[in-house]
Amino acid sequence: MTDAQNASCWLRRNDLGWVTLTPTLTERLAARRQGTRAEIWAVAIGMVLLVVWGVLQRRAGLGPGRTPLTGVAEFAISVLVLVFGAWLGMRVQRRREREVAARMRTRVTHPGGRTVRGVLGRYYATAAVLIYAAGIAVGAVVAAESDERAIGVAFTVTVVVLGMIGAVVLFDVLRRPALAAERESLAVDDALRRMDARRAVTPYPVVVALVAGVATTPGSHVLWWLIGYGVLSAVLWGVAELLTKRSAAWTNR
Amino acid sequence: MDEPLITVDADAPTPPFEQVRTQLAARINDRSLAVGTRLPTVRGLAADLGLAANTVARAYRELEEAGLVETRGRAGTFVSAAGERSRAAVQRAAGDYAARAHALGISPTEALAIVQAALRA
Repeated sequence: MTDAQNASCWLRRNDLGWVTLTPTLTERLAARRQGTRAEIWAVAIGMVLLVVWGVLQRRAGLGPGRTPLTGVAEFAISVLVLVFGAWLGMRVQRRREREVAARMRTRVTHPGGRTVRGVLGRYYATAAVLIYAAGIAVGAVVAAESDERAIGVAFTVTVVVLGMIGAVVLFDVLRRPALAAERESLAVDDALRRMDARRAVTPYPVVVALVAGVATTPGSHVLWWLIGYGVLSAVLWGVAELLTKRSAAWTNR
Repeated sequence: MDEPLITVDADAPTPPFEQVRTQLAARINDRSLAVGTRLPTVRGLAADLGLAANTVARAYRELEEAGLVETRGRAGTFVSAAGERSRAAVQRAAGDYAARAHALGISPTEALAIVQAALRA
């Protein structure tokens, strides 16, 4: 498929089929696709290296009898691989976007400042804050009140680190210059920014809770804490998504 | 109503800072940017429009001098309530002028021409 065909598909898939496809917009969406490709490659290579590392560990006889934290540590490394992939993809994308921007003779933007709530939407913003705060609270309680102290500490630290990474990425998304030549491409720019912002605060702690849950001692009540947290977070995120969709439908009526 | 936008055309004869200034002033005056609205940061708007930060800073400075926006330290630049007051004051003055012109028997066309001449002066 050509860049234009890919761009048209993307617009239709994201309810932006009404947008007229311009060469600049095509190039911009191609830059994004190129960034995503770079990210996928980086993550794939990272994951292959992790798997190779795991195989080598087993061959060296380090497989069974690992400490409960080994799984969490491996997960933390996987997260770092994902973060590195995302960072690399973003760099590739930004470089291409800067090239596109340099050729644009007309630029358009909103006259109002961008806010976290405005870009992310109040429901997602609230859900993200609650999910990350609850994750830290659950981790702290597990660390203080149970026998699984190490898991509690590791879980808390991972949630805090993920929260910090999310916040940094979110503010970067807010600061990213708009790349639009007219109203329609600005609508696309807004949609891309919204997607990136939501992706930055995706409730990854739920996955961490699952991994930490697997590492707990069988029969430990900590597992229920973690499952409860995972379910609560998933429900919160789902409600945020539902309310955002309903709100958008009401606005477009 | 379509959401207001700021457009900068690098090929236009009007300097970029003037394009930014006039468009922001128009949005503030037609109230599509309400009092208290936070404007983008100088750097942010400059990056969005592909301009130098100094260009946007100059536009903001002139808007501030005109009382349309106010800078609240590190909190940012906001649409000023003074702009609304200025607008209301000008509207009151225009009402007084219209009443006076009517009382003196000056036609609306001539009254308008006098105002236009005064604005150009």
